[in-house]
Amino acid sequence: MRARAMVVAASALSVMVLAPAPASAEDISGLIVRTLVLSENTRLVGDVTCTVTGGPCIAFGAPNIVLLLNGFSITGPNNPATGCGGTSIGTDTGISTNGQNNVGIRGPGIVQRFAGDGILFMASTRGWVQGVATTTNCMSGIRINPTSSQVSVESNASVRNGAAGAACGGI
Amino acid sequence: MGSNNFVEANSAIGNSNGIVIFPNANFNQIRQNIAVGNPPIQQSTSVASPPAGGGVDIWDQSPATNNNSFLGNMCLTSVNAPCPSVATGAIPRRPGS
Repeated sequence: MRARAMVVAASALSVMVLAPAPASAEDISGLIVRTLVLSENTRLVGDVTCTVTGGPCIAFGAPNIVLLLNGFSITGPNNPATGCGGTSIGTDTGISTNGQNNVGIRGPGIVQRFAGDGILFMASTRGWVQGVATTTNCMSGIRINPTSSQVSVESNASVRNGAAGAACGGI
Repeated sequence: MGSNNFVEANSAIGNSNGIVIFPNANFNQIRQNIAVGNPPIQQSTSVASPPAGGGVDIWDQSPATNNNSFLGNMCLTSVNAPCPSVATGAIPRRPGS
């Protein structure tokens, strides 16, 4: 009886140790070469470098999910010293809400060096961004597209975004 | 910017413009942000006066009838927004407080 109890206890322990973590979130880091579409809650577990052109680096693909920057950075391909050098490309966004509703981006973290907007709320309702630093993006650091509504932009820092003569900039 | 958005307690410094409200934007609340040094001095002394070619801390491109509101922002230059406004009460609260 005692031996059986030990086997049961050992089995339970092995289940606890070997069972995979709940698949409720995705971890990302490293190099992104084509648009990464998020379908679940996601967090950065390391810095991200992005070489995507002609589209966003990261795009939301489902409503009601959150991207946690978790203290890391998302860096586009632009020059670190000059940012965009005066040339902006609207499609080359860092993070796009991509028409999804009630999605959020939470810092701390940095979104930088994209030829378009750092963070773009595109045709979304009830989105939010909080505690994120955006810098040296060629359009706006954070932009709410005219087709988006009920978006909350709170406690972020936008520094050195935009191009001279363009109606964009920090937010 | 679209409609019914909320922009609060952000810092915008050294950008080509600080905070821009698009022509069709309406019923947005812009409050307790710090928007200064837009554009940075190196740029502002070399370009035309705003808004043509230049930049400002807060630029409201919408008509007054669109009901966008500005409250307690710390800023120095603007178009169609209440700047300069440097009241100490405009300092944003800390995140989470």
